[in-house]
Amino acid sequence: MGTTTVARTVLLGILAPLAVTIVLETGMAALFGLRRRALAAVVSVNCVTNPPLNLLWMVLAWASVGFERVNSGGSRGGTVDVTPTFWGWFILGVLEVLVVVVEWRILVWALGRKDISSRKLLVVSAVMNAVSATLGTYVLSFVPS
Amino acid sequence: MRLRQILVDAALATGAAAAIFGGLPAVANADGAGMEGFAVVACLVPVVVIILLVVGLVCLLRIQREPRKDDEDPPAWRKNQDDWWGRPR
Repeated sequence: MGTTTVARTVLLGILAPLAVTIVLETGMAALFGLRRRALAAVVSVNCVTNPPLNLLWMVLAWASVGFERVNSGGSRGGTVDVTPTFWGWFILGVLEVLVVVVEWRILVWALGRKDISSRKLLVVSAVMNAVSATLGTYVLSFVPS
Repeated sequence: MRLRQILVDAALATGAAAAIFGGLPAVANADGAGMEGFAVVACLVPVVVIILLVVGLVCLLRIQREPRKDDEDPPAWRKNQDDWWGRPR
């Protein structure tokens, strides 16, 4: 596997989803009235949660757990596409719920309850993750693999 | 600093999980192509993930330790004002 392919895998599998997630989630957090320090915390918390999630997603695809391999070419020389099954999307849903809880607790710890209430941070975490999971997946579908 | 320890433990656990989960496909796909994929998934991508994880955790620790507005010194104009009882601050 060449250096270009490795760089491409890291870029498309880890950095591109992280960049899209940071843009969408920081935008949503700003709409909720979070400023400066809180937005920095949102960016940092995404660096903690998003790459492991994408790594796990890559590993699941590689191990064909919740994914199916579809041979889109002929019997010789065809390309094999890996697409998530129902269980793949189910696993992603469960992981997203976990991410919401983890991000909420980290934000409460980092920002404290004095300026922003814990309940508001839970709502912010849930909404921004819902937006990044749906809109982010849509945006990333345009990135060539 | 119990939560800080939890975060550090979480980072270590994620690294261990990345190595374990990365190793599984290598066992499942032990052919040539599988080993090439293994090299990326098990070695290089987890390194990038761990770097991002550590950077995120360090930033969060800095944010958590950063003094809040209430903790900062009062502005100069307020320092020069007398307090409620007429005594200098």
